[in-house]
Amino acid sequence: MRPEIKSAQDSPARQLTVELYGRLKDQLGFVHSTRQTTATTPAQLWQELVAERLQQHKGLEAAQLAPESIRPVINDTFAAWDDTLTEGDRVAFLPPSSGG
Amino acid sequence: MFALSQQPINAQSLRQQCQDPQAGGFVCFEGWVRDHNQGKSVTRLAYEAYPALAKSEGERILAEARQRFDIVQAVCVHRVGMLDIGDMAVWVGVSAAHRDAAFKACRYILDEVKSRVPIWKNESWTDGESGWVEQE
Repeated sequence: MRPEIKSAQDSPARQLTVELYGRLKDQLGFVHSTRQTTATTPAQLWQELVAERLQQHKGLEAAQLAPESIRPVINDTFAAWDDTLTEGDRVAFLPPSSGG
Repeated sequence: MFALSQQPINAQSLRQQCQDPQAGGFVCFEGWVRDHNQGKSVTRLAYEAYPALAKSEGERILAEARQRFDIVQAVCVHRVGMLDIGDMAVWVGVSAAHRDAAFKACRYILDEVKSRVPIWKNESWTDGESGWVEQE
């Protein structure tokens, strides 16, 4: 199910670490990044990252970065898209597993 | 015991971890790197993992297998890093008093590890390109 995105406006900025895995590294163009963001949930943060990348990389389509198949992780624990982010959190986004 | 390994998997030592006086049988699955996938000719592949979550999710799967099936020991190791054709990518071993539980638990563990443990496969192909592979 597509997560509901609430507005991040009026929220104070916080510093987070973002880590990407698998194909998401190639699609978003980085592996690890520290950033200031007003995003208060993984859903808002993902929307922000995707919007930035789509601006820079015209060949990419939003559908390729749809959140349905992606799982957010906060501080090494599987998280929900609407969990609350706090200062200093390490947020990771994981594509579907392909081990074995 | 679930583990990730940067080194080649030592199947003999893992098999010994499954030995137990209560066990009357042992089922093992070895996943190997093959030279083709989805119509492409593969030269080698790399596995990347999220280590902290891979370990916890792998252990959770083994605990589920112990609950669901009447087994004695269950062990799974998955390789990470660069692998060549023929290298062992994953090893699952289950011992049980009787064969039915061992076969079923081995299948369960492998299927769940493939779909749930955060590990990703990057294939290199004979055309010089490489790319991330999604679950078939």
